[in-house]
Amino acid sequence: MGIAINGDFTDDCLLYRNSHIQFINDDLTAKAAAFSPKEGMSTDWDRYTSAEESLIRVGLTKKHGSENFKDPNMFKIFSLKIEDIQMIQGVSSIDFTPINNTPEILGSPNNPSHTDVWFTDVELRVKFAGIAINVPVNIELVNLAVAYSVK
Amino acid sequence: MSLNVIDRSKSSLIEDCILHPKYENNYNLSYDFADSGSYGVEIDLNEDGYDKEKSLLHTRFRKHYAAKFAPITSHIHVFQQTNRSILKKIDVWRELAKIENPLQTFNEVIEKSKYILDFTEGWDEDAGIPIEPVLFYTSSKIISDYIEAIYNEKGFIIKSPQINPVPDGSIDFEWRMESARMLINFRYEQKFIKAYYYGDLQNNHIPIKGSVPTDQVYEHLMKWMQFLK
Repeated sequence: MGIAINGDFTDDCLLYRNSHIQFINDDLTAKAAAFSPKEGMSTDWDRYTSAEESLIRVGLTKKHGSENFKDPNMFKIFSLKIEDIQMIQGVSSIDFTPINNTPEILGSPNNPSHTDVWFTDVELRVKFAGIAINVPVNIELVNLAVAYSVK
Repeated sequence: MSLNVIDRSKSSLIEDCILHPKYENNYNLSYDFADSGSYGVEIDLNEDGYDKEKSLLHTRFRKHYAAKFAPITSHIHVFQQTNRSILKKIDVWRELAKIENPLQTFNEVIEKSKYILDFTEGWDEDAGIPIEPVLFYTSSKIISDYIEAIYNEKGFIIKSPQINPVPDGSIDFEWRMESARMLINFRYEQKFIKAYYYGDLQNNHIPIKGSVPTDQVYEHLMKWMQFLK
């Protein structure tokens, strides 16, 4: 059974996935735990965002059950190529689901690139970790943008 | 490894010993245990690659060591079968001291990973669920059982996995090697701990996938995990 793709994705499109440093190996590869699926794995489509913007949104998002914002320095960005995802059997769908609240919700920023990837399997977490590539990010720029935006 | 844990007052149980299946019968191995006899086991001293002598000693004395029994001899003599000339004299106590604990490395991994038990809700700056100690220790124990089972059967120690917390409160045991990769995820399922696993030799070669309870070592999984050496 093929993957249901809802969005105008091409094979070379990238999906950015932010991962807490807890899920990153010393060699900057991703652990399988970085791809724990829960109500769809949130990613950002590179057509509508840069890796820096993706990390800035992390810094503008409040921690779960807290008024504090997440620390973007505690996260890295990985890219997943659409072509590679399509090679993995068991991914049920890739859904382009941009988030756009008006007015924008403090601590839950709008995201024009938001894309959910749906899967529910240990096997797929292994394989996502195998295709994920660390994306270098200008963290100084991110921190500056976050500090400016939060103020 | 210290020999202090060995109780010298106990006699050895040579019956407990098993021979490595790769051995052939060309030479006699004589030893001075209380119930001594000859195993008729080949030790190919000139063969390269596979260290038969080391494996033989492992096979023979590991169980004595584990059971805290001590051999009452100090040397093993390896004889040429034809003329009974001594080919090699092996210091038993020295060799015993070199015997590895199959769980030594993994126990270190467990110790280093205990910090995840201190995680509170939101440990991943999101909705990360704390890791329950019972889940941690149970899953670590069952992985230890698999490592030991492989060692008992094959005489080698597989690589130790990473122990990684997962945001849903489950625990990943993850091997990532050039030759193979495997993920075993332990989680609660209706109050019982269950292990979900996937492994392959990279590029989907010889994949294994499924789930097992944590009540015993399951042979099909144990056999596949031998790729993780």
